[in-house]
Amino acid sequence: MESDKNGSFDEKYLLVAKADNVKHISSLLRAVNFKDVGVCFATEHGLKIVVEDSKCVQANTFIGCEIFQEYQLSDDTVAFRVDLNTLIECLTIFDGCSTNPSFTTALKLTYKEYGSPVKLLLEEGGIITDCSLRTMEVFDILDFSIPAESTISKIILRSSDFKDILSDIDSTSDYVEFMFSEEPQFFKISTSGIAGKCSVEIPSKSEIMEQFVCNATITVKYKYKQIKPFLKCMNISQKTLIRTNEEGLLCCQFMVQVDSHTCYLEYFCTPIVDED
Amino acid sequence: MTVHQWIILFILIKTINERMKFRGKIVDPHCMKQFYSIVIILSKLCKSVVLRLSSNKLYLIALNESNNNQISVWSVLDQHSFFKDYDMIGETESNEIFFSLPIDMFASSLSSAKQTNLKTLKMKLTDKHSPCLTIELELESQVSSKQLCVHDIPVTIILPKDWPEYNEPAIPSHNISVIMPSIRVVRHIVDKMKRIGPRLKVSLDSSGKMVLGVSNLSATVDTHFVGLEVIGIQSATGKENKYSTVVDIKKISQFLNCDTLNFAKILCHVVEGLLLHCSIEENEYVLHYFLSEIDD
Repeated sequence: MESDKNGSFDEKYLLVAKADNVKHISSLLRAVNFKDVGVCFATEHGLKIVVEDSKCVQANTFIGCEIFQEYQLSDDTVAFRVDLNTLIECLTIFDGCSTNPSFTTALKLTYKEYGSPVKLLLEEGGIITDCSLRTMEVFDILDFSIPAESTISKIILRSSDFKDILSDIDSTSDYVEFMFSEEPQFFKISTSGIAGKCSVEIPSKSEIMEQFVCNATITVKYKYKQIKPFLKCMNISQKTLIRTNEEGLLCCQFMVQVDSHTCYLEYFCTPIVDED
Repeated sequence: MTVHQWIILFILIKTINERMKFRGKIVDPHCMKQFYSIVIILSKLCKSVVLRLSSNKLYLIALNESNNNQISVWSVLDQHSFFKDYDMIGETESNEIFFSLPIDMFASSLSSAKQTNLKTLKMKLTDKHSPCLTIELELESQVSSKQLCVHDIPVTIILPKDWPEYNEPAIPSHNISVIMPSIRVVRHIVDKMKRIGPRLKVSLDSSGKMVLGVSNLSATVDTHFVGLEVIGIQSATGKENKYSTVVDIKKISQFLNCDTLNFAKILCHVVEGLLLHCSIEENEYVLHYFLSEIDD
C-alpha cells in the first residue's frame, strides 16, 4: 500500500514542473506584469500566462516545457488564476542573496487539483523557501488572434532600437498612431501632446528593420498607456514582430532567447475608434 | 514668564551644568569607527537617544514611543576600551549624567569619523546658551598642520527623578537563542517579504532551524534556514521545541538594513509569543534590540 502511494505520487498532481534556474521565468513574467492578476494555462507545450486589461489589451507569455527540467501534466489543459505580483515576489525571493553568479534558484512548482493552492518550492545555497499561492477560478478570456491570411502588415524590428524610439515618444500624448505605408514603404509612429506633434518614420530599408510587408496602407491609433507596457518586453527580447489586421488590432510578438531556447511574449491591443 | 522666573530658570540650568562635567577623547582609529557604526545603527532605529554616562560605562538608550516607552535599543560601551581620556563628574551620589539628543545630528556630526585622516574624536558637555554636546574632530591635513571640525548638538539634560525610565530592561528569559545566518541574505529575503505582508513570523527550533514567514490574502511564504548554532534553549518540558513570535516586518528590516552590521555576529533570541531580541555582544560593547510581538 505504502509503495503504491509513493509510486503514484506525481500522478496525484495536475501539474509538476521543475526548473534549475527561475531567473528566466521571473523575467518573462515581469514583462507581462502590467496588471495584478494573471491566468496560467498549462498544456503539453508548456506554460502560458495571460494578463488582460479592460478587454482591450492582452499580454501572453509562453514558457516552453523545454525551459523546465521536469514537466508533468495529468490533464489536457490545466488553468488557474493567481496574483502575479506575489508570484513574481516569491520567484525572486533569493535575488541578490548570493554574490556568486553561478548560484541559481531552483524551482519546483506543484498544483494538486482545481481550487487548491499552487505550491512553489525554491532553493538556493541550501536555503529553502516554500510558498503557497491561492488560486482563483478562471473566467473567460479574450480570444485575440491574427491569422496569416488576414494580416495587412507585418514588420520585424530590432528590439533594442525600437525600445529607444518608443521610450522617446511624447508621454503627454493620449494616443500613439501607427502608420504602415505601402508606397513608399515606411513605418511611422506619431504622437500629439502638450509640446506639439511628433512623428518618427522608419523606412523599410532601415537597418533596424529586418522585414517589411505591407499589403495596404493603414493608419491606426492606440492609447499611449496601453502601448507603454511594451517597453518592459523589449528589455529582454531581441526581435519584435508587429502585425495588424484590417480592423487595426495590433499584435506585437517579442522573441526572447533563454539559453538555447526561444520564448515568446505577445501583446494584443485594440485600436481607438476615431470619432470622425 | 516673568523676568524673575527667567533668571531663576537660567540659574537652575547654570548650576546643573556647573556641577556636571564630561569630556572624552577617542584616538584609536578602530574605536572611532566602531563608535561611529554604533551611532549609525541607532540612527536607523530611532529619532532620539539617551546618553547615560557613568564613570566606567557609556550607555546609548532608545525608547519606543509607540509602545509604552519600552526600551527598544540598549547598548553599553566600555569606557576603558573606547576612550583614551575620560573625565566626568555627575550628579547625585551615583555619579551619572543622563541627557537626550537627536540621533541624526549625532550621526551626521560624526560622519567624518569614517575618513582615514581623522586623528582624534573629542566629546564634551558644554554650556553655550543651552546645554550642548560638543564634538571636536581633529583631521590630519596636507595643507595646514591641523584641521578642526566642531559640532554643537543641543541636548536635554534629564533630571534624576526621571532616570528610572532608563533603567536596564529586565530581559524575560529566552525560550531559545541562535546565531543568525548571514545578515546579507536575511536582509534580502526580509526586504522581499516586506512587499508581501506587514507581519513577519520568526520561528526557531531546537534543531537549529529558523523559519521566517509572511502571508497575505493570496499567499503564504516561508523561508527555512537550517544548521544554525543553537546557543541556548530552555529545557524542553514537552515535545514542543519550537518557539515563534510575530513582529513588525518594517522594524526588523530597519535593523537588518544597518550596513555596519555586516561584519558583526548577531544573536537572535525568541520569547514565545512575546519578544524577538537581537543582540551583538562583543568584548568592548553590547547592543540589544528588542521587538515586541504585534497584535493581530
